[in-house]
Order: sequence, then structure tokens, then C-alpha cells
Amino acid sequence: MMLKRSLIYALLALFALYFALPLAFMLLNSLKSSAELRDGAFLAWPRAPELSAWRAAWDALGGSFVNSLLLAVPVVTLSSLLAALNGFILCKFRFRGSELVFIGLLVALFLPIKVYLLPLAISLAKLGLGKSLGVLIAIHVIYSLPLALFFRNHYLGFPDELLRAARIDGAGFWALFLRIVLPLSKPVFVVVVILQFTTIWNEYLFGLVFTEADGRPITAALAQLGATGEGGVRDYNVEMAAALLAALPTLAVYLLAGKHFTRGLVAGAVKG
Amino acid sequence: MRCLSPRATGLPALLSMLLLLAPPTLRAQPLDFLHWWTAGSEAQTLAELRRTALAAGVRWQESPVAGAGNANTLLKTRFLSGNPPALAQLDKAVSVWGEVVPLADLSGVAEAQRWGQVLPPEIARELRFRGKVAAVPINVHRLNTLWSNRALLQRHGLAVPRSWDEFFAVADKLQAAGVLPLAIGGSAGQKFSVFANVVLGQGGADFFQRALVQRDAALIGGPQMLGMLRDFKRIKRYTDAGQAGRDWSVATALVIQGRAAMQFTGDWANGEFQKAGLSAGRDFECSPAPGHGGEGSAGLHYFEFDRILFFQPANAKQADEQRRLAAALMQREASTRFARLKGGIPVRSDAELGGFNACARQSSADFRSGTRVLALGAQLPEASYGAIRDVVSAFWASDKMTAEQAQARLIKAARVVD
Amino acid sequence: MTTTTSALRRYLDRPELLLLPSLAIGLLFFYGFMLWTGWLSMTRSSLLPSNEFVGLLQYQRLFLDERWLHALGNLLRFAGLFVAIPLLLGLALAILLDQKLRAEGALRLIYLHPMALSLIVTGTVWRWLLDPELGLAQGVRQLGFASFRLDWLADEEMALYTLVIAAVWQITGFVMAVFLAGLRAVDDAVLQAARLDGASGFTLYRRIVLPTLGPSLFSALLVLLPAAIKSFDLVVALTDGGPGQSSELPALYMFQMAFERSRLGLGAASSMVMLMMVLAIAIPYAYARGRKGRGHDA
Repeated sequence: MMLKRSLIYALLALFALYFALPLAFMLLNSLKSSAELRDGAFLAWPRAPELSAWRAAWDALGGSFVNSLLLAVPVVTLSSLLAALNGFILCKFRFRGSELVFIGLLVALFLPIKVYLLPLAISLAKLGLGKSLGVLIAIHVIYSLPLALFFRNHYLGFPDELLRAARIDGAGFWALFLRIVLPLSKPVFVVVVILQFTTIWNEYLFGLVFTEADGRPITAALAQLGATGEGGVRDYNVEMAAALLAALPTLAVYLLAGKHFTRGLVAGAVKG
Repeated sequence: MRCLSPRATGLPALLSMLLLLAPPTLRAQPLDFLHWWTAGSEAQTLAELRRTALAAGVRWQESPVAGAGNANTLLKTRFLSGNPPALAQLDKAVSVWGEVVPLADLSGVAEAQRWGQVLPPEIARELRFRGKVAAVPINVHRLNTLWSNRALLQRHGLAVPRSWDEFFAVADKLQAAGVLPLAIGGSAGQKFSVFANVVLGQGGADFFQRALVQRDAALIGGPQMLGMLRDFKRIKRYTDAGQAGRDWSVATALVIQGRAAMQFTGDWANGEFQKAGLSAGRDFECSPAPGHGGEGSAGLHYFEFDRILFFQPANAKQADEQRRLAAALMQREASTRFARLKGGIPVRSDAELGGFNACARQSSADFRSGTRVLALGAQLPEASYGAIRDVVSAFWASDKMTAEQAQARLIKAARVVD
Repeated sequence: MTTTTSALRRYLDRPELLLLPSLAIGLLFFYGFMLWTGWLSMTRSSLLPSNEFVGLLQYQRLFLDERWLHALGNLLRFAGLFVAIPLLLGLALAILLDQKLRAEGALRLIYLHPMALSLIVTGTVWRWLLDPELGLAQGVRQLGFASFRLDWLADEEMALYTLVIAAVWQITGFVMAVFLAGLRAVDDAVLQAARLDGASGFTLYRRIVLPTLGPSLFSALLVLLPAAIKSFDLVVALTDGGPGQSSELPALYMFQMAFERSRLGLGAASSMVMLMMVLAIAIPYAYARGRKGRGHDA
């Protein structure tokens, strides 16, 4: 029995190494100077750990950090609430064509949003909408509509009796949704919020195109750092520090909510 | 703008309604410059540009986007959304944009400053679209340079190869001695410049123009091209597996540190050698690629040039500002300053070369008196160039593709027009 | 149970009308734009959209392009592994973690954290780790295995698998969490009963637990499948489709043609083909679920 448990621990530790290695690698290299890295010392321990790369990364990205928060927080809030509402209706109020809507959402979930870039640019111009944070938020909320699928799957597991009982108590649709359904959706919310926060925080193409230079989200700014063509010189240490810097909020979300993530999934997000 | 907005016919009803709703938004007033000069020496060039613009009394604004790909995507969407910049960095032929959007007319400035006399004809021609000047050149980059570590070559009793035969002999000896003969970066561009060096070095400028620019099927499908493809592929043997994803500057560092003997890349490498405290002619050599002349005769000069494209101004005031900016950028001193900051050499043939090192001076001499060949990417439509480059990089990468197969694919790629 | 649903419906006044704004907007922004892309795919659009109709020329070009055909083949190989490995590995990790271990919380976080990193970052860091000269290979050589080589990034046959390594790294933690949730949701009473019947260890899992994981599998697939088809950022950051075009996937081809190479019509044609592929998966899938849904959970 002891042997079996040690074996399990050994296996799990081996995989922990696979999963932890890249982050450790980035952290170590972000503490090196760019000269040290250009000598090819990627794997070595930093000769003289320094924070210059982190400072440079903060100079490059700091400004866009706030932009990203201003973008991600409203998008995540709005899109997950909307998804909960749509998912609920789609699941519990079958109507003619609801299967079609389901397929429509499913297909939409599969397509890269890059496909929509050009028509979107033209339409926004024709609507007289310039680049602004509000527009970018609206775009992301629209392209997050397929999230409703996650809620729909959750609600499939809801007993109708519960809803009917509430109905008998005289609750209207909104009361039903707000007082009964939403509180019971907490687990899915945890999952969707985490997935969505990561997605929005990390999206860069729309962030680049639909914002002005000083309003760019952090990942657009991050992509800027790495993208030097023929003729430019890359500072790998700054790139690593910047990558970590940009990932801090999502890492923090996982650190804080990671426990709820599994718990959320346990509580029923996977039913369906 | 009329040519841009898709006509409603044939478009889905919902969308056409949207498209017809509102007029395009008005262009922002200051001269907005869209560019991807975001790193290192490029940032210095940009600062100089900003100073020049402000000194010329121009209302100035910048839209920086790193990466040519990102910048071009943004430029497109800005045109589609009716909010185009007044200026943009250009990495393709002027005509590519000229065909689809209205450009500025700087012909007056060009005439007053006699651009036709101070610029080589290859460059002057590339600034025009339908007879009107619409772009301003910043500097010239030489692409066909062989950079080598002098000490390393000497230690093995070798000299810088002047022909492709010599190159292979030198590379064989180095390899036998356990030295990496050639450092190369991971990008498709790095491989393509090796290919261009082989074609130019073995076939000459005329062959290059007829085979690759005019895409003469007989030449592309001929025995000479087959031999070139074989030699191109043979060069891969002298490179290492570490090239995947390697930055060109990391490859240059290998030469600087003596871990590799040679590298083919553009003259941006010059700055890396100088930064490392190496001096041209003593520690490292910069010579034209094998078979490209030099050594007594003037060398062949395979080049591209940085330029700024001017789009149709929004109003008379902006037109005036564009003209003033163009004139300021082409002033002899300003133009030389840009080249010194950005690397490469000045575009003007009357520029003073004080402050440029031996490599730049050699490049400039070859540029003025040698045979000039404009980079293939600047001469072909993007689709055609891309298709040819795909074949070259796939052939380089593949252990299975034969030279004959590569040639067959090259013939096919040469037929791609749009 | 269909009757309950419609009974519920009768009570509340047509809440499906609330869906209308979302539906209208979704229809326009997803499918309206798709139609527009469909139209573009039949024009000679190059740098910018044009209206010169060329019929199916772009599709003809598309399917004569070795690059595209190769990208499709790559997608099949990549998607297969990208779905299979996280499912198997995620399940294995979940089962191991389910053994009431002390370090479970910490291990779970370690496995899960890559989900927080963008695919750009994932691709970049794995490119460094898998670098034949600088990365892990160098480390192993320094340990004394002088002839050790790991050249996958430079190998046209193997480069695609570096994408799999990185993508698996990024997503497996999520799949593990989903399965772990599924395992935890199994009723303890059922497990006890099975144990009393003499089932234990492997048999217990195979007979009792695994069959209940269907919903977890579905949830995992809902994330894995779209991620496989949409894979773009990772490819750009890790291999950029190379060496040559050997590790290219359709999404990258689409983007490069449409945006970087001024072949908008061709790029549009490739997105339409991707749409067809998705439809070919989604419709039978939704149909099957729809039937199941009417049977069980509606």
C-alpha cells in the first residue's frame, strides 16, 4: 500500500515537473541580462540576478495594464450574465427553432473570430462608430454569445419541479431567473468567468485594431514587444518578464479561484 | 474612397443596409504616421523623424504597431473604416496600395528638390504611381552581404570566399575542422536571401530579373535554375539544427563569438558587430555574397529601401504639411542622419559618409557605381513573391523534396498573380 | 418531461422573446459576416475587398495549393492528438489525484496554471525550451549525454508534434479538473455498494466510475474541439508554421493569405471551407444531442 502511494506521488510529481517547468524557466530568464541570453545561457542559473528586464517590461506594458482591466472586467461581467440568461431560456423554454439556435451557437463557438475582422471594421465605420473602449467591449460581448452553451448544459440538469414550485409561489420570469436560477448557477459562473477572463485578457488582434495606440490592452502591447521583423533586435529577457507581467492577473485569478474552479465543476457545471 | 466601399449589389441585405447608413468618419487632422519602428535603432530613427516633422512645422501624430504584419492589417482596417492615416511605413511596391486607395502627389517637391538627379533611377521609379511621386525614401539596406569572423577563418588558413565554388570549399574545410560554417536565422526571409544570393551570384542581375521578376518560365524551368536550387540546398548542410526560430541577431552573435564562421544577412548586422566592439576589416569582414563582385570591381548591390508612403491628404492644409514634411525628409543632411541612425546607407548619391564605417562605405561605393538590383519582394506583387518564397523555404526545410520537385513547384508558384 | 417544460412555458409569458436581441445581433455578426465572407470568396479581392466576381476560382486555387492541403492534413493529425492526449492524461491525473492525497491542492494548481497563460506566451516559452541548441536539449547534454539531440523544431516531420506538446501542456490541467469534478460527483453510496460487492481498484473505476463521466467528457470536448480548430496564436509563436510550411494549420493559412499576403479572396475561401467542416461536425452532433436531450434531460 505504501509502495503504491509512493508510486502515485512519483508519477504526479513527474507531471508536476512537466507543468511547472516552463513557468520556472521564464521566471529565471526574466532575471538575466539580455547579453547573457544572447550568449545562449537559457538554461543556466542567472549569473547575477537583476530586475532590469522587469523594469523595462513595466515601462512597456504598465500603461496598458489598466486598459486591460477596464476592458476585461466589463466584458466578463456582461457576457457571462447574458450567457446565463440566454442559456436558461434556450434550455428551459423550448420553442420552434431552438435546436437551430443551439446549432448556430455551437458553430459560432468553433470559428476563429479573426474571420470577422474586416466586415466588422467596415460595419462599424458605416455606423459612425470610431475606436473606443465601449466599442471594443460591445464587440467582445457579441462574440462571446456562444458562452450560453456552457450555461445551457448546466441548466439541463436543473429539475423542472424546482422551477415549477417557485412558479406556484407566484414568481414571474425575472424573479425566477434572479432569485432561483442565478444563485444556483454559481459553479458555472466560476468556470465561465475564469475561461472568459483568460480569453479576453489574452486576445490581441481586436485589441490592436479597435483601439487607439494609447488605449491598447496589455496583450496587444505584449505582441508589440515580440514582433520585430528583419532588422530589429529582440530582448528575450524583457519578453519573458513582460509575458509574466501580462499573465499575473490571470495567474492570480487561478490562484484565488482555482479551488472554486474544481469545486464549481464538481457542483454541477459538467452535468449535461 | 469610392473604390473602397463595396457596392451594395450582391451583398447580403442586412449588411448592405449597414454599409449604406453613415458616411465615413472624417480623417484626423494632424499628420498621422502608421509604422512598426518600435525597437532599438528603429526607435531612434522614429525620434529623429518626429524632430524633423516638428521642425518643419507639421502637426504630428504617431500610430506605432510592432511587426509589419500587424501594421499592414491595421492599415487595411483603417482604410476600410474610413479613418486612414496620412502616412505609413511601406514594405511593398507603391502600386500595391496605389491600385486600391488614393495617394498623395508629391511631384512638386520632387521636382523642386531634383529627386531625379540625386536618387538612383531604381529608387526614384519605385516612389511613383501612375507618374506621380507618392513616397519618400529614408535609407537603403544592402541585403547581399557575407559577414565573416576573420580570426576564425585565418586560424584555419582560409580567406573570405569570392565565388560559390570557393564558398563550398571553405565551408567543407571548416566543417571538417569542427567549425559551424554558416549561421542562419529561422525566418523565411533569411532563407530567401540565401537563395537570392545564389541566383544573383551564379546567374547575374540580368538572369535574376528575367527569371524571378519577369518570371520567364523557360528560365525558371531550365537547367541553370535546377543547379542553383541544388546549390541552395547544399548550403543547408553547413548550417545547424538550432536555426529553427532563431533570430537573425542571435545568428550574428554566433559569428561575433566565433562559434560560427559566416552569415548571409542584411546590413542591419553591421550595428551588432559594432555594438560588440568589433571593427570591420580587423575582426570581421563584410563582403558581397560569393559571385557578387567586389575585390577591385564594383560589387552587385541587392537592396531594399525604407520608405514612407503618403496617402491622399484630407484638405489643403494637410496637403501643404505633407509637402513640407517630404521636403524636410529629403534634405541632404536629414536624409543622411536617418541612414546613420537606422543603419544601412543614405539614399542620396550626394550624401557625405562621415561617421559611417568601412562596411557602409563599401556598400555605398557599390551602390553608386555597381549594378543595383531591387529586392524581389519590392518588385513583385505580394501574392507572387509569397508563393515563390513558400517554395524556397519549404525546399530548404524538407529532407524529402528533390531539386526537381522544388523546380516544378517554383514554376507553379511563378504563375501566381493575385 | 417535455410536458413539464411546455407547462412551465405556459405559466411565463414567452420569455424566449428575450432572446431576440441576442439572436438578431448574433445572426448579423456571426452569420451575416459569414455571408459577406462567402461573397468575398467569389471575388478577386486582393489587398482590400473588391466586387469583381470570379465564381469558384478562389476555391479552385485553394484546393490546388499544396500548402492548404497540407494544412488540412496537419489539422487532422493535430486535432486527433490534441483531443486524445489531454483526455487520457487528464483522466489519469484526475484518477491519481482522486486518491485522497495530501498535496492535492498544490498539485491541482500546478497542473491548472498553464490555462492562465496565453497561447502566445505558451508558444514562446516552448519554443525556447525545445530549441535544439539552447533549450532542454542543451541541459541534457550538459548533464553528460553529449550526443543528445532534440531537433523536432527543425524537423519537418516532427515540428507538428511540438505544437501538440505545448498545447497539451496548456489544456490538460483543465481537462483534469473537469474529470476530477466528474469523479467527485459520483455518489458515495453507489461506490460503497460496489465495494461491498467486491469491486475494487481498477474494476471499480472501469465498471462504476468511468461510465458516469460522459457529461465531463462532453464538457471537455466543448473546450478542446473549438480550441483545436481555432489554433492560431500557438502556431505563430511556436513554429510559425515551419520549418517551411510543415506545421501549418488552416487558421494560420487563412490569416496569412487574407491579411499578410493580400489574397483576401483566397483567405475568404479558406474560411468558408473551415465553416463547412465545422458544420459537418456540429450538425450531426447537435442532432444526436437533441435526440438524447428529448429523451432524458429536457
